[in-house]
Amino acid sequence: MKRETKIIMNIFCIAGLFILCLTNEAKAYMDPGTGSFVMQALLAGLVGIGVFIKMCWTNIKLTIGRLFKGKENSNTPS
Amino acid sequence: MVRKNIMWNIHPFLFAVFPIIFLYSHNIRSMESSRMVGPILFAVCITLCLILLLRFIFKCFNKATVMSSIIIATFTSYGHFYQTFQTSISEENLIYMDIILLNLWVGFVILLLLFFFRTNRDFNKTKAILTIIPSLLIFISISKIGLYAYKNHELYEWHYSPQAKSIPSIEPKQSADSPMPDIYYLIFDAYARDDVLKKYYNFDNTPFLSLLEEKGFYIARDSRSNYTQTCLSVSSSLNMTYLSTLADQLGTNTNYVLPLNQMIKKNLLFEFLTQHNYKTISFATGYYPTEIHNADYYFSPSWVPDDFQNVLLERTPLPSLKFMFDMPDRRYKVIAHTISQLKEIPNLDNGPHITFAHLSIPHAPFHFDQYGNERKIFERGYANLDTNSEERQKYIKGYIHQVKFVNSQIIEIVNCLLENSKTPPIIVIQSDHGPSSFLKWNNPDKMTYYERMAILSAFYLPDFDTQTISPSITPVNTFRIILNHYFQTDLDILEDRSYFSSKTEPYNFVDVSEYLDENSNGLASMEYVSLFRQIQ
Repeated sequence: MKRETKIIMNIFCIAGLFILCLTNEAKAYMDPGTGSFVMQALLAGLVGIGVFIKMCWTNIKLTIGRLFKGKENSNTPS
Repeated sequence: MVRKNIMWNIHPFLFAVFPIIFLYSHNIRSMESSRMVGPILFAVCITLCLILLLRFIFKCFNKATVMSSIIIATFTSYGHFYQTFQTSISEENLIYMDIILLNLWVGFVILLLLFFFRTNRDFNKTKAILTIIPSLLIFISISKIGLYAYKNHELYEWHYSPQAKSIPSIEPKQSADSPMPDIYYLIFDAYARDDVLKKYYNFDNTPFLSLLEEKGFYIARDSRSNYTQTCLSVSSSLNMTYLSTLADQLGTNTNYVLPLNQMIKKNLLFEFLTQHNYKTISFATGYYPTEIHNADYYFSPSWVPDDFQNVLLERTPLPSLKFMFDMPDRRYKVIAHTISQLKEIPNLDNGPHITFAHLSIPHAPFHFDQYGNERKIFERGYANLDTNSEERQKYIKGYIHQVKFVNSQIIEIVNCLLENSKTPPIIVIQSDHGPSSFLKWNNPDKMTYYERMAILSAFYLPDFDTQTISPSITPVNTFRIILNHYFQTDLDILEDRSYFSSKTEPYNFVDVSEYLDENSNGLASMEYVSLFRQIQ
């Protein structure tokens, strides 16, 4: 759990710094900031996908392993 | 364990408050943090209701929170994605795109509901991811706020200091015995001077101006604005001063405009007139910097969102529903309400009153046709006006329609004020800056600030020798001459100067007064601006 927390914190810092460097300043009195919003949403989405893969990594490995194993077995002549 | 469960279930609330914190972080230079409180409370309440409703439907708390998060995230980001595609679609097809997008969103929510009904999953992993995503987004926005506050801590300290809040006092030489007149300061946003209308808009405004003259108005035929932006111009005119001292205090490279809001809300003109037993009157403007809520009388239509809340609402699918169900636009409601209320002011009470009304018309967007009917225009956010001829022609057409409507309303308002006032009133009809069919902030070499700074200035001043008013008067001197005459003050008449500054550096003033004559085509003067910047 501690390792996971550390990974999440690292992700936060790297993604946060990356976005902070790229975000634009408001151009109008009340600027909706669509460009920054979309970019942040996409990056946060990518982080989410990354975390999801990380969480399911054991299951993914097992599934892929099973798939290849099944293929190998089916290729073996009976 | 219970605490851990709660932590992983707060994600719908995080998704709900993120757009509010994001918008504040993006516009921190121009708004107070307190304006987030209302929307955050509203978002939290709505989220709670949604969770409870979905919990009742699914009989499962995890399902309810996950479904809520997805609905909230797509609902509040809808407008951003819409705007991303908007630029590549023609204006006529925008409504179809909106219908398609709206149907897609509704379809997505229905499919999601069906999926959640049928599935038996526990969503424990999904909950974790749904918590991480908005937490990261909020973390970024809060970091941005912190970074801005750290960089500008001196400005904040100054802004909240007593020195920033103090305003100079004006001493009258003697108090007047006769009943004092009501004063009306009516600002019509971006109303151009007649020569600009003739030259660039092919519109002859002479009949309207002649009508005003017949009623006793003096028209300053060569009037210019002191600044190119509303908040700069209005804070300057209401405080009867140039903003060079403020620029010196804040620095020319900052975009921190909060002090201007403060200068408008607590202004020298209101302070002075309050000391002379005037009651202050203001109206909802739909533009937060010019909203003076603390006036003795503040008139507003039944609830209308302020500009911050409006931008938040515009990011949701709600404007599409408003458009489809033919509901009036916020801006239309505010302007129509102010116009109708202005006519009633003389009947309010015994006064005397100082009435300040900033009407964001004939400024774009063009919600009014020439007869005052609401034009259904479909747009979200700010129009990105380009200098190509097609866009300019659309602007000119919409602008002239609004000028015609405003003209008819000004005459009606003036008639009401003159007929119903017991003492002949003082009426100032002025614009804060000119229109912007040639304006491009980022490419000043292509814009004509002659168009942006030549403004309408009309004065109804009873028992005043208007021959003494300079035809090129600027708003900074408007109330200096009025107070000197009617209140026997001894205010200096300042030299009429006009300063250009961009949105990104509002205090980086460039004196362009010498280049504001009718014969300038703007390019020569912009060369001067470029040269000035290079020298700086």
